[in-house]
Amino acid sequence: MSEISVPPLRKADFWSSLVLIAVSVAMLLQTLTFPLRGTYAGVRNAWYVSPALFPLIVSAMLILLGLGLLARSVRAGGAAAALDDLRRSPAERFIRASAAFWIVGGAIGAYVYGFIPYVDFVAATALFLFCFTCGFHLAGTRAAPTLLAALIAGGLVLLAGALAGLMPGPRTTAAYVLDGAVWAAFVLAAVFVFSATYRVGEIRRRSWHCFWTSLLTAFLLGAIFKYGLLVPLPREGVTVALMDPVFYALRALL
Amino acid sequence: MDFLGQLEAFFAAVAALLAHPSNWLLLIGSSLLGIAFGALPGLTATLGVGLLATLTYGFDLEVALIALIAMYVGAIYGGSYSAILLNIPGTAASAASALDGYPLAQRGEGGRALGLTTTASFIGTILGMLALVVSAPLIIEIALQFTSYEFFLLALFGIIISGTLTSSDLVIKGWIAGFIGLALSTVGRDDLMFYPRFTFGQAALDSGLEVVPVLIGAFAIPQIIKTLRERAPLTDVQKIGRVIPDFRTIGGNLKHIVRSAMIGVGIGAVPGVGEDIAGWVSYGTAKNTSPRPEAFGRGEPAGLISAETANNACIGGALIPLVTLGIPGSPPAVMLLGALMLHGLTPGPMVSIERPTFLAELAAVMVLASFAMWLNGIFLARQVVKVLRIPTTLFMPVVAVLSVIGSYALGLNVFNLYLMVAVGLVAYLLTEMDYPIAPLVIGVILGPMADSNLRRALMVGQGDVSGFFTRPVCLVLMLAILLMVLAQLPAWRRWRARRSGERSSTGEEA
Repeated sequence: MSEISVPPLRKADFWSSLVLIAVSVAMLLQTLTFPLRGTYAGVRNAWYVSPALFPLIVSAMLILLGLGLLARSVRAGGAAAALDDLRRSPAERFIRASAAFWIVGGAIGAYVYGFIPYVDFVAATALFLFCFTCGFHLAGTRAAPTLLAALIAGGLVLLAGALAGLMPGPRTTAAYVLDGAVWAAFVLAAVFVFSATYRVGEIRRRSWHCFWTSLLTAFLLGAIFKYGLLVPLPREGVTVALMDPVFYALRALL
Repeated sequence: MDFLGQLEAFFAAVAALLAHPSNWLLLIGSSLLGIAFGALPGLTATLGVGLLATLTYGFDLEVALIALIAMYVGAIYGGSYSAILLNIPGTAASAASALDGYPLAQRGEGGRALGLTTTASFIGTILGMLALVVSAPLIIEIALQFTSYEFFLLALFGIIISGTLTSSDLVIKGWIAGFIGLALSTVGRDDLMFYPRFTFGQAALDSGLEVVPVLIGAFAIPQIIKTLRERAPLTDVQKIGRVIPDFRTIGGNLKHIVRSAMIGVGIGAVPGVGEDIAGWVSYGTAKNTSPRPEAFGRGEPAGLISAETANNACIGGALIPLVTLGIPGSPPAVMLLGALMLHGLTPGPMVSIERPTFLAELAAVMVLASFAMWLNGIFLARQVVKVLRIPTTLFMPVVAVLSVIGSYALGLNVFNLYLMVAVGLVAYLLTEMDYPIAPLVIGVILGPMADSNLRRALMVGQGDVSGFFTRPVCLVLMLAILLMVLAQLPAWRRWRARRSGERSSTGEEA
């Protein structure tokens, strides 16, 4: 079957139906470990009150629907075309086709899994926003991919540190040093961007947009949630320690 | 509560809301924020309501309701700004508005076009609210007779119909999305026996997946990735001049307004099907019934008015199943349901007993939100238009941060952030393969209702399933589900085609 005659969605259906069937079978197998009969926590169980009943129905339905989608894909030639694609094109093509997914997902993932749990929220947000906005707002400059790569790498380093048990606890000197390092990274990133873009007026102007957007958003959101909505930030570090006396001084004045 | 009692409660709610100047500010502010959210391409009403739900979590229910409804009404209307002035619909709901709105703006009538959409949206919202107020008590009266049998089938019906109607590719994908939502809802300890399901020993999963982070992830992350991927360049904003209501044109299109409102309410009431479809259907109907269909697409006010009336009337329609049965009618209504649940209010027939004045309060908020939207539209449109000059590459990262802090703020739990991102990335992959997201989130919300009611129903019958076949409402729901499923089977389609072929050949012979 030629590639042109098979709609790309039917090829995607082949892969998605296989993943769906695999996950649903795993769900079904896990469900079979739930008590179907007998006694649980002192309560006599019957099949119709079993906690397994609903997941059993759902997983069975998902397997059926997955098989239906697979059959549809096979009939439309999607399966053959998908397998042919796999033989002819390496993973590189897939990665290139979904570059936005990897870049945006990687940046947000780095922020949420790497920075947020271990770094002062305001500092982490300022750095994330600066790298992320520059990555897209300054598209076409050499600064854009560098900053996005640095952000993702930074998140991975922090995550690796956390997995190795190296991350400091909150409100410790080491945690404040880490927060300071993130602010230093922000300053370094800003210096890098402005040095790379100062020659072109329009790009320089955009760099300032990114700078102020990231800084103002980080401080404003931090202040609104911490002092306005009384919601503690995910990690309160050196910035919040500095914001607290300012806020209380302002409140005393007003 | 009788009609007079509801009317009294309505006026009491209006008076109570207006008695506090802070509520006025909240109404105007949330409505403005909603208009800005709707106007900015890439931001949606669903996302706006979701993010605001996290900000208003600490507020009283009444205050949160003002902010959320004003945001919802404003955002659905706000989509018309970019549709008219940029030819880029701010929300999918306003896609049809661009067809005639942009040509009007190109002719230098941008102000008139915005005035028409402002008034049409206002009337649409009010008519939608009236439909809600009139129909909700009747539906609640019936729904109060429902038992576990009906509630289980109702949840199933909601998932199947939203899956059927929201799939742009294969219907089976809509059903798969709905069942994935149901599967996600089974995570955590079950309601009846408190048995841990799919928790893998993680304490964070014991209480199940939090609905709002799932909703925010499912709607925000795909939107952020898609918008940044497309990176639409800024185009010139058409000049708008003075925004004038143009009551004469509105008066001349009354029949379009009434018909569009009915279409909007009807489509809104179908679970998961939202304002975008209402706008298109209404536009198509107006064009097909017009004596001058060739004028549509060239700046015909009737086209603009029809689309905008319908998408705002859809709000009231979407709230009908939400308030009466606990089943959201549109994606923003899904978010609203999540927000109400955060405030300890679970919509459904029992709400009329637990909080008898809720419907009147909701109607009062909708009326005030419509007025706030109209005032903002007429007097502040020229200022709001300035947000259209903000590039998506600047505000989308900010939306990402808002999604993160919003998801965290609900339970002060970092796990919610991990969940939000993971769900968001999977949702993006699903949307890329044309799986609709609305049935998935409806599945997550209706899953616990389906699960516990199925088991309760079986407990009542001691395992006997005949109860499902002896109750009239159950039979109707089962028949509807069966027909929807059968209609998608190739064998059924072939049989239908054969039958219609036979009928037409018999007709020809006759």
